[in-house]
Amino acid sequence: MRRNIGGLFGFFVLAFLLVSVALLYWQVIRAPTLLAREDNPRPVEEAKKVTRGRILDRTGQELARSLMSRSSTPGHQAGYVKRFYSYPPLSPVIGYWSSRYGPAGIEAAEDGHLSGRARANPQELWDRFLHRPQVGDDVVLTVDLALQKVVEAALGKGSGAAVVLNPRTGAILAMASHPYFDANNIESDWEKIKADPARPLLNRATQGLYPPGSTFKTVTLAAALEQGVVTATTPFSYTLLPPGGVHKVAWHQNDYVSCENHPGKSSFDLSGAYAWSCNVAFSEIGLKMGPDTYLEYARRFGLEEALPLEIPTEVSRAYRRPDYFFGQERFYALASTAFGQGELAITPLQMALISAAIANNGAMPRPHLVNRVQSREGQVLATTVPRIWRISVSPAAASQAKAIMVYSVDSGWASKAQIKGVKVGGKTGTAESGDFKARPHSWFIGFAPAEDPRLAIAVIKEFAGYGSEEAAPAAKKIMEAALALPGD
Amino acid sequence: MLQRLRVTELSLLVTVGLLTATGLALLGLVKTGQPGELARPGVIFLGGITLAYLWLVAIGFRGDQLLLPIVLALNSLGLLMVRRLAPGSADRQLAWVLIGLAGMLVLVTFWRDLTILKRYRYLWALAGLGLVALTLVFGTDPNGSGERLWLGFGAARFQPSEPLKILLVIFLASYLDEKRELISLSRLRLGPLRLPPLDYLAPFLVMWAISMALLVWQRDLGAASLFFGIFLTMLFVASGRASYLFAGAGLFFLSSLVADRVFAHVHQRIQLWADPWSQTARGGYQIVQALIALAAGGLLGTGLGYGYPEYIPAVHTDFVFVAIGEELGLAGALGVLGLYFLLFHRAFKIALQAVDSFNQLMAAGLAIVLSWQTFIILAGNLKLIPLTGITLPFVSYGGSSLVTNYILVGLLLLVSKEPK
Repeated sequence: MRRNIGGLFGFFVLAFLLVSVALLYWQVIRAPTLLAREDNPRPVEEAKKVTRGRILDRTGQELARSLMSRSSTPGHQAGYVKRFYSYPPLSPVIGYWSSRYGPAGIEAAEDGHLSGRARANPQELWDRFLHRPQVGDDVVLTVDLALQKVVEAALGKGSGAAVVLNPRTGAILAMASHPYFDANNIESDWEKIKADPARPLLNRATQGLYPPGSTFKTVTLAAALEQGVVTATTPFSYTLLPPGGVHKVAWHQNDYVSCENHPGKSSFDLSGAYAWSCNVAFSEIGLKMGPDTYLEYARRFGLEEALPLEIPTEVSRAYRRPDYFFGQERFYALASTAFGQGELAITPLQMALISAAIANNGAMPRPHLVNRVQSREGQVLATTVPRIWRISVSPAAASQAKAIMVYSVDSGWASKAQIKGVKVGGKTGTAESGDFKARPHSWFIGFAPAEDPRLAIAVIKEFAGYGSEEAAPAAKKIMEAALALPGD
Repeated sequence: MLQRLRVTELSLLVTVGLLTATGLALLGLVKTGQPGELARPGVIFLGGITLAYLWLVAIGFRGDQLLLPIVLALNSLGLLMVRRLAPGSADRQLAWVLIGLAGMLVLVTFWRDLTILKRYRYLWALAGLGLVALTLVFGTDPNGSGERLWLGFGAARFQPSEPLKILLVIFLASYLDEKRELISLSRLRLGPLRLPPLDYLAPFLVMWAISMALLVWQRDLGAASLFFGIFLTMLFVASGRASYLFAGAGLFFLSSLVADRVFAHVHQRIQLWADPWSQTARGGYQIVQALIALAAGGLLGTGLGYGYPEYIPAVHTDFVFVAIGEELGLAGALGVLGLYFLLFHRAFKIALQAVDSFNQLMAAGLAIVLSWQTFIILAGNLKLIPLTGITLPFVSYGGSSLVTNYILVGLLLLVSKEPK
């Protein structure tokens, strides 16, 4: 019987060896797969215990911060952090941080720094090992809160977007998208925000695709100047036919293009054609360049390219159909694209960058929203180095285009953007939205001061009417405030 | 003199005391920032241990000195984990520990004659059957597990399957001890197969029937496999015939297959075991969360109080070992396995050293109870076999189980002090 007992003990030893192997299997071998499962609550739980870094504007004002609660209050459990956003209109840029819906915007882009995970120095690993409370790093934006407030006011209540950036560095000083959501209420209002037909979660400045209207004549202008197709003094003269003044063209389906937008003006040089936004003149310029050359410039100005930015951007489009510029409608396509309609679909940020490229000697800066990352104590850990994204046109062509844009503000449709004592360059746009019952989108793009540009801007007010009446005066207010900012 | 003062036991108990104090201080620090927060239960537990030790010295007890410290080390860890996982139940668990310890001491002090167990075997068998019958008729399901495994007396409840384990072992030890010599005298044949003598065959079939009844009627897969396992292994110890073991295991396996086909709830259990991943909404959630918790523990664990085992439903009764795996890591879990290994080693050694054949069979049976039960719950926790609701001895929350296991240890201690 003793032998039997010994044998049985041996059996149990084997059984427990099996248990040990199973432990090793689940705890080590299969661990990565198991931990990556979506029903693992640990990452979310851990994230809720980290005091996330703050998000600051360029002057150090707090835009987002996390508070650890010592005692439980409704909606805020003890030992967990809650995120507070002090300026909700910036929500489309900053995004939100939610344990339920994940991070978005800057909160997602800089999650590694804000959560402190990106730090991997020995001290950090030791602190984590000892379960010391974790504090993430602060992210300092290029956005200026004071300017942002002016932009929000200038945009008003309607839908629209505005971007102000430094044309040399690409630092975005203000970025607004209306309507916006309040990141403080993202969890309680999620369904409402998501279902809202006005789409407040969409950052219109970086993801809204609009027909640019006449503001896009700037691309045609700069391309034609560089190609030598025209000079500043090239004359344009048209016979306007009644009613209202139309001009007969060869490429249009009805053979006529309206010249209503420059009444009484039928003869001008290139500057005048741009300042008074003559569609016929610009369609002729575009047709002279031909589709291959024209599309090459569209790409040089950043169309059809993924735009690098910390937060998601939409690719600006020169066409929807690949054969648009080469099929049956090719003349109509090129002519209408050259004055800003056609199939163009462009983000406000892209338009601001086009203006910036003209202002910055033809070099388009790489846009950015994050200035630097610093520790809670203020020690700088990482800084964004300004870079040129692409060369759009030669400095010579840019310089000529710049002068014509200044002329457009001085004595053209963009005159409502004039600022006393400052040379402003700009272009208005009144873009057909495709919905013929609705009013057109009101656009303005520009830069200031012309001698040494410190800001480039794009403003769009959806369905608001003429660019000269709505977007230009709004842009003027914004530029005045931006010029008053201390330089960097 | 050293033997009289039980110095080996004393030094090991000091280690257990240090383990307890460290664990409670750590848990207090993590949960409230105060290392003294859990001083009261710590003092009560250590006081209980001290009194038990002094008592054993006072009555001049000469039994095994390793068994109790091993058990108390496991129990200390169990108390710590219950306090970690279900703080509201921790005081009640501590009370059960003290009751269990007291019961064990009373047993080793006053029960001098083990032959009483042998002589009245049909009384124990009757008591056991009575318990089963009562549960079948009056069983309640206080925690909504779908299994009516408890007997209630007013506010108190207990799980009859726990004391039943011991009654079964005593009865089988006595029965098999008497019939041991008949083993080679079998003349029964079924075709080419030589069947065991009727004295083996009859209880064999009865036990099988009882296990199947438990499985199908009470849905208690844990108790069914535990009882049948106890029976088969004791039969093997008494007869030395491995063929009985394999035949029985084969029979259990085959009848489980049939139960899987015939009974929907058995089928569902087995399905959940085979593939819980795609069925988290239908009951697979518990085991999936348990395995994720193990993965989160890794080699060294998250540290006591820093894991999230509370996401596993019924963690303090069914998955304490997994919680240990998460917070103390593979290292801690293997340490616990090591303690169990020492416990079984000790229990089997007591069986080996027993002189009287009944005592030897009974001690082996008790060792088997501990080993089987631990293996079944651990293998269930690790998805080696379908999960069952039985407790992890001395670690899981549960009063019936604790008291029963302390009585079991008392019986082993009694066997160990018999003249060798």
